[in-house]
Amino acid sequence: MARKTFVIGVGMTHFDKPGRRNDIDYTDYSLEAMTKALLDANTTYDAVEFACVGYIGADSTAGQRALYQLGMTQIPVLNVNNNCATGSTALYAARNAVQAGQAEVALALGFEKMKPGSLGSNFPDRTPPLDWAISQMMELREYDVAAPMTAQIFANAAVEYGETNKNGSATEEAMHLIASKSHTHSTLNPYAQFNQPASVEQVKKARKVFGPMTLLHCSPTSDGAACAIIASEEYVLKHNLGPQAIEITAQVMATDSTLAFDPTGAKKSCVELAGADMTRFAAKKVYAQSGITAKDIDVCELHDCFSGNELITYDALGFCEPGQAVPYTLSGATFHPKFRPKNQQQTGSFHNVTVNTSGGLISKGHPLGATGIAQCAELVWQLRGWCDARQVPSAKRALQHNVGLGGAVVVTLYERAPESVKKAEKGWVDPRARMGYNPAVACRGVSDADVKKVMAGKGSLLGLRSGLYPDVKEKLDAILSAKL
Amino acid sequence: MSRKTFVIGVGMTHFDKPGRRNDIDYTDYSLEAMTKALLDASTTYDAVQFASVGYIGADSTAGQRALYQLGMTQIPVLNVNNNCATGSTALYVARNAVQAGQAEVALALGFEKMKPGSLGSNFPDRTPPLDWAISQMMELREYDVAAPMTAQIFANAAVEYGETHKNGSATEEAMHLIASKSHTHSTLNPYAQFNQPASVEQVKKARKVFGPMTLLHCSPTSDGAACAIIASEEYVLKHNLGPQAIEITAQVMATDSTLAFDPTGAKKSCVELAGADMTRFAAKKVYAQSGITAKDIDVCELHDCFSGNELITYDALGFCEPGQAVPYTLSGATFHPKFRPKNQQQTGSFHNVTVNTSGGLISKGHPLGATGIAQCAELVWQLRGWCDARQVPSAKRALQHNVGLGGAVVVTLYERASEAVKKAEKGWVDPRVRMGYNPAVACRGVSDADVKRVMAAKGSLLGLRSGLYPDVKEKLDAILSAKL
Repeated sequence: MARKTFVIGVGMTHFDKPGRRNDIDYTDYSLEAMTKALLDANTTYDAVEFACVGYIGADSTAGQRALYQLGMTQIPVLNVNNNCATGSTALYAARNAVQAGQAEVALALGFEKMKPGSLGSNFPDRTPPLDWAISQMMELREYDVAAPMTAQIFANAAVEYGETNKNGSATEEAMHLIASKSHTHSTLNPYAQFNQPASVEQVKKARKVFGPMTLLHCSPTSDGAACAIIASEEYVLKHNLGPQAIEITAQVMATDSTLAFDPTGAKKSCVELAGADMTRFAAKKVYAQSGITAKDIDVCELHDCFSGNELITYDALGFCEPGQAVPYTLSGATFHPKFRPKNQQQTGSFHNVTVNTSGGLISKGHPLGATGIAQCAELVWQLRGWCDARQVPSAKRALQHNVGLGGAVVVTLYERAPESVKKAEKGWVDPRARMGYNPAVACRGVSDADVKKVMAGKGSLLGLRSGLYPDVKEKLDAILSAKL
Repeated sequence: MSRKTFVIGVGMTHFDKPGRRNDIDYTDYSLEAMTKALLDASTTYDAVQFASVGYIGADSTAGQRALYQLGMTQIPVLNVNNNCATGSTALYVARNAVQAGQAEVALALGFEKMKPGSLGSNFPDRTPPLDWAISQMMELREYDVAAPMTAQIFANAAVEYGETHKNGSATEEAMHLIASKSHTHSTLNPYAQFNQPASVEQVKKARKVFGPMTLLHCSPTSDGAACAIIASEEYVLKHNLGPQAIEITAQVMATDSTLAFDPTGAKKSCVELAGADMTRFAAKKVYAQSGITAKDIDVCELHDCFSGNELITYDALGFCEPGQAVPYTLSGATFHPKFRPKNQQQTGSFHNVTVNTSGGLISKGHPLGATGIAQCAELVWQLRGWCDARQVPSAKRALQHNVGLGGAVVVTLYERASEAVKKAEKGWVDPRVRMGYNPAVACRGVSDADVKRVMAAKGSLLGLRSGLYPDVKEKLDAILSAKL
């Protein structure tokens, strides 16, 4: 009933400060990401039999509007969202379609065009989906109406964790170190919104946001898109994609448990209302399904919306023993080997797993719909061995963690394809040679020729393979301006 | 790989004029629909292993906010949308999960709380997903900036259809008759927003909206929710639900083809930009998958967002020969037998299929997220034989058609369970007896006792089976009022 599934192509755009590029819209970001992914997968839009698009900030069927630029092929299309876990929700739905035999090839796209500043509601006149979490938190801690709500949730979670485990001032030090790690790693990622290093001292001196967290502890809002193409084993073998195919060996989505909301009892907890039990549950299931433990993970893309969430998530993912996340962090176990601080205090044996070679959400950026698929792209590049200066040596197993308040988490395990699949048949060409560059270490745009190469045979909204419509962009921009 | 799937429970709320009930929110509508569906299915929220929630007008993870009222059981939850096809998109995703063996029981919920008046954009500063359709239409017809955009799309489609097939003034007459049929049928549906009859004369005299369409040709905006529980054959047999289980024997989702947008060629068409080819494609596939033809359909819930769409959809679904939708309509073939006009002109042999016993979107209402699941509820009740005064006699095969511009269509075929499954084991109790009333012909609310009965064993946002939290509603309402 459950077939193997492989990521055969990935692509993403640079993540930009919102509004930096007023001349490009979600459609343009999406076109770039999809084109790159299809080129990587050495195929065209005609191969796609199912598509799932994740985004928050656009009207319904914006997914189709993005996809139709490459083809109008009548395939099923879902628009999905799950707050910050939107991107991996799109991945999850696309992967399920292939796993179930409903499609040989599925496309997962995520995009976002955001307003600058903190996340807000588009529907302030009705029940906020997070009312219960905020209510719970207000019964435990002082609520600061001037500070961003999500920052408080994750700062309070980390502070409570440190108090529960009697870590004293080491908790703050661990959070500063996580932030510094993010900025350090990001210097090697050409897609990152920010790629300046920041020492722990610089992190501490930045503008205070809430509790121990300064601006450098917090992911920004961002514009961007990412795309992944998922295929069956049969498709991989038939199209000789084995050497580039990365297997999704396990994937679990989970939502909140009753630990997250307990208005009458003693279980109230800032760590729990921040969704830790979703992560614990999903990670346990992934390890059980694949027969591994946390110690088998080499590299991880983890949802560091704020430093506080990375701290509590080390524990929830089982990277450290329960309650040990602060000393674990301070040991430097989650730094890339080339940056791992040598003077960090060791309090026992810790499992080294490099977390967020991409720079994570804090430095790479966090366009809500795209983030979960950008994490996938980074891990696919790592397992393919394409990451050069930021490569984790001998990376074999990669874990992805993408979480959204409200809530949902998707935990995904990636591994290189088994030998029987990975073997290159005659004629396989490394995508880097086909594309003329290594997308893992260089961020380039796409040309009209690229778009036409991956477009459906019958054409699309933008035109035909033989030639794009000369004035379609002006025609359609006129509709937006007319505000009908 | 592909298992049988059955609807084992349905529930819906009355569809209300937006704002008529300011004291209830999407959470309350959802709770009512879900509770009714679970009671119908003779089970609790603990049985649900996967949930898909469709809505447009609320923030991300509003689906979880609705579901958590009955349990926080860590199941996967997807929030989905596809404009007016949102409800059936939720159904499609839930059904796929069961069909693929990813869940034994899946819940599909759809809800909406809308603003009065015509549909508008929540994101007017970025590419509208329908820009291509509007652009195409403006190249064919005069655009009226004062009239609602969707009304123009479907009026122009019907008018073009009539011109193409040389129907003259009969086109308008057919559209008036469709509207009148909707209002006539609705008098027997206790859930309908409007349940006043309207003769063709009354329809003609109502306020003009666009072209031949008056107000009585147009679906309103509405508040409401609907829920369906889908299960595997194994679950149906194990829990002795055979006599009430309605099989989803085929279901196809399709999106636009290149017929919908042709800026340079002669294929431009108002019928095509309105999405007719999505319906044709999906219907053909459903018939092929199930080995039937349109003539085997007894009863149909069809997406009459406007009378114009019902007209062109008769053709696209194959209820009539291509080009024959106007005489087909005027023959009265799609009326309920008790209302079928005897003086309608017959121009050949037509297949009688009762369309929209519920009153359709025009009279029942159109809360975007809920509509597709409300259509499912009506057809389940029809096939169970529960509909009394509006029952289509001997209904065996039911077709559901739910479409959204942008776009997507879902066409679904329902049949009673096979004899092997349907046989009642000792102890099966008709849900109407268990519930104390027939929900197909009476619309009632749900009590706290009902909610506790279907709640998860570990409790929910609202409390425990032993007792709901006394002040949780006030606590959470305070968060909304605080507008944090």
